[in-house]
Amino acid sequence: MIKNLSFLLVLVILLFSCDDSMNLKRQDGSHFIKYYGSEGDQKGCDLVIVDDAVYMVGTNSTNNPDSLKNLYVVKTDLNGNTIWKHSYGTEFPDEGRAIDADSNGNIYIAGNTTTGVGLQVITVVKLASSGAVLAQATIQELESDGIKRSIESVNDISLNPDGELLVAGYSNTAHPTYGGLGVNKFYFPRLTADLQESPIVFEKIFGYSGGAEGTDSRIESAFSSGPGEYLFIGSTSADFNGDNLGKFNLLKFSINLSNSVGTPAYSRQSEDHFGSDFSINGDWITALGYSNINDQNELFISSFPSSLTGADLQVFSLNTGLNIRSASIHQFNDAFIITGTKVNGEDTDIYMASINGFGNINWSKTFGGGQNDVPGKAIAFNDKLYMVGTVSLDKQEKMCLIKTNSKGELN
Amino acid sequence: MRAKWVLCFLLLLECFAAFAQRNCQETLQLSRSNFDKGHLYSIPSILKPCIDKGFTKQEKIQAYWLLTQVYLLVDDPISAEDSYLKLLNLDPEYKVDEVNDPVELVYLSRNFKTTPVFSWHMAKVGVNIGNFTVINAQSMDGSNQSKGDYKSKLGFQIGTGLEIHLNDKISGIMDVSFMQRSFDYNRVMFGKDVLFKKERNSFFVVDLGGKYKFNKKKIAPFVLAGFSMNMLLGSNYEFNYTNSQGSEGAFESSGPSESNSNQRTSFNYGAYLGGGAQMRLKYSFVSFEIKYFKGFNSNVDRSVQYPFENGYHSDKNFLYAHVDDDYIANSFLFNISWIKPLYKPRKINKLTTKNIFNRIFKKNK
Repeated sequence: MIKNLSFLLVLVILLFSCDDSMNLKRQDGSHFIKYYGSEGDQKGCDLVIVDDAVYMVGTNSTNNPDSLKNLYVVKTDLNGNTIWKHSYGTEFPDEGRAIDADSNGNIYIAGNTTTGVGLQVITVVKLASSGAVLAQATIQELESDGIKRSIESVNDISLNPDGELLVAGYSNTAHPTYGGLGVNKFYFPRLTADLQESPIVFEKIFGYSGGAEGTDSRIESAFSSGPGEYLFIGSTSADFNGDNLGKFNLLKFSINLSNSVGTPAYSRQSEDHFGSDFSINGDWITALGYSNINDQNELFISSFPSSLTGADLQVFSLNTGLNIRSASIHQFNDAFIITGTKVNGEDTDIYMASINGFGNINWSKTFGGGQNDVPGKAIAFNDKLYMVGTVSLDKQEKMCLIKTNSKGELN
Repeated sequence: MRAKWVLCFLLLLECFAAFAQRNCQETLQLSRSNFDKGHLYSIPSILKPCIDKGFTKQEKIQAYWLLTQVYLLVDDPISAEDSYLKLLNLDPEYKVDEVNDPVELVYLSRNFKTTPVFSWHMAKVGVNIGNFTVINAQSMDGSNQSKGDYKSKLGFQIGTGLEIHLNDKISGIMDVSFMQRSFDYNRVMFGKDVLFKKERNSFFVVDLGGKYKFNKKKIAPFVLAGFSMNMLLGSNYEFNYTNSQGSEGAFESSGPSESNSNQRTSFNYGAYLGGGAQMRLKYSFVSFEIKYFKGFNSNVDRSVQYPFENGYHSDKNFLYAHVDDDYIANSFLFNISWIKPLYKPRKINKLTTKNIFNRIFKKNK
């Protein structure tokens, strides 16, 4: 009797130990790598998470020679399952660069639109969570004779608490103080929530007085640090010290964007320095950038008080020993999640690391498959890390979303 | 010269053997004649020299058959049993003719059984074809609109085993084998691209189960069932990705065959159910069986579904846009085996499997 019962017990245990979807839950909830796209190439560069949905922006280009590149947006759930994917833009080639969302769940995307040879404007589109277009605007500068001759470019967008959309980029339009046509200047156009031009009188172009020669300023990232205050990170090659080296800047403006309080443009002798992104943690700002010497890139961070006044510039090299260009920085718990493009000869890979405020690396991970894989922005949500990027897959590019645990692990 | 002498010696030996053979044939005929005349007591002594040396196997069997009857008639049951046991040792599949043989012999035969206690499945070879149950379809194609397709290829297995006969119909089986399973996987990606993967797994398999034979005829059908465990010995895969819609047009790339053993579970288990028939060939059997193995556990090691190798996260995933489904591998197996029963003729209730085990354990003690 006992033997029979034992046998029966073993049978029951074995049968109930069968793997099925009940005991083997899908792992998408904790981690995944997913590609998005269809025919042609699709790139990803920025993402935002709103109402448990991930919105990614990038560029879509089909194989049809008659069709143009467009802004490309993919909405997924938190498990990376596509909810919808659409292309937006103009009748000209568009290239997606940035995305943000307001508290109502509306999505704002921005990209560059090439309207002719040497001519570029910024296209901004406001979307409902369904993907429907709510508004669209073109941002451009005209010369004094009313003719368009310049390039305007967007690198990032940010919504302030009042719902105002701040665009960060550069323009090479002519400016009486900061240089003529063809010299890049910092460019900060502002729009209302309906993508109308801001009624506030402000100066949207900034540069270095008298530094027209050699000045090549580009704003990489924008952030509204509070009512009436805006922060930007950028790079310039303004000739301050008799060099033409790249220097990174962290700039703070009042609401009219007229009075700047900025860090000195920073560089070390014989090294180019470029700013990429920054993150605000209370009273401190941590900026990410990379230096370049002899084609070798090295990541660095710099921390400043948010007032930027009396800031004692401190730069911490990350000493990765790798050739990496910076991409994004995002505060996560007591550390920062950074992404960068790791260069391996002809190929590039996606680099993600956790660092402290002194540039010490807690952990680092590399993602890639031997071709050109490039990261976009990474953000933390519900203790998981989400990173958008572009991967090369047999002579085609696809937007990718990588979700990892808090240590960048795919398990 | 020396070789000639050896040749002569061998010829002489042959002559003697032939003479002895002819002599023993006459002895057997003489014994039968004596039996028919009722001269029973002389028969054992007549037969003994030839039983010791001279009879062929068939003649020995006939001699023991004769002796068994002689001892039964002279009321010496112990000797009769001994002779009959010797007969069975020579021919374990010997069956008395219940119609024509003397009734005493028929009754005596019922006190003996020749069912083997063990049978050795000396060579078991066969082919298998997989059948896959996908628990969770995984994909790197964020469209989530297509699922991978598994196509099994013919694999093979080779092994050996031991069958323990509990009675004439029921037996327990333990088989060990080497099994190789192959399958292809393909999936449509991004609408038109095709991801193709070829995979081959090798296992050491242990089957523990039972077998029920429906009869003891020359061709005996049976059913079998049991549990099966396998240990992964190795696994390899190779990829091919056809990009039919890239910006540079159609493009196909293939990867080399590489090990993915670390992405597969080391141990798998499941149950099997099957049936077949075994055909007696003198003192051996040829068995044909078909069985279905139902796996219980996923064959994918989830901790490395996205492998981390050489400092890189998911190199293979990125290269070929592939991630394993959570899947269970099942198989249809067809086996042919040569079964060699290890006969142990014995008196009923005197020598049983239980007794044998008791003896073994007593010895060990």
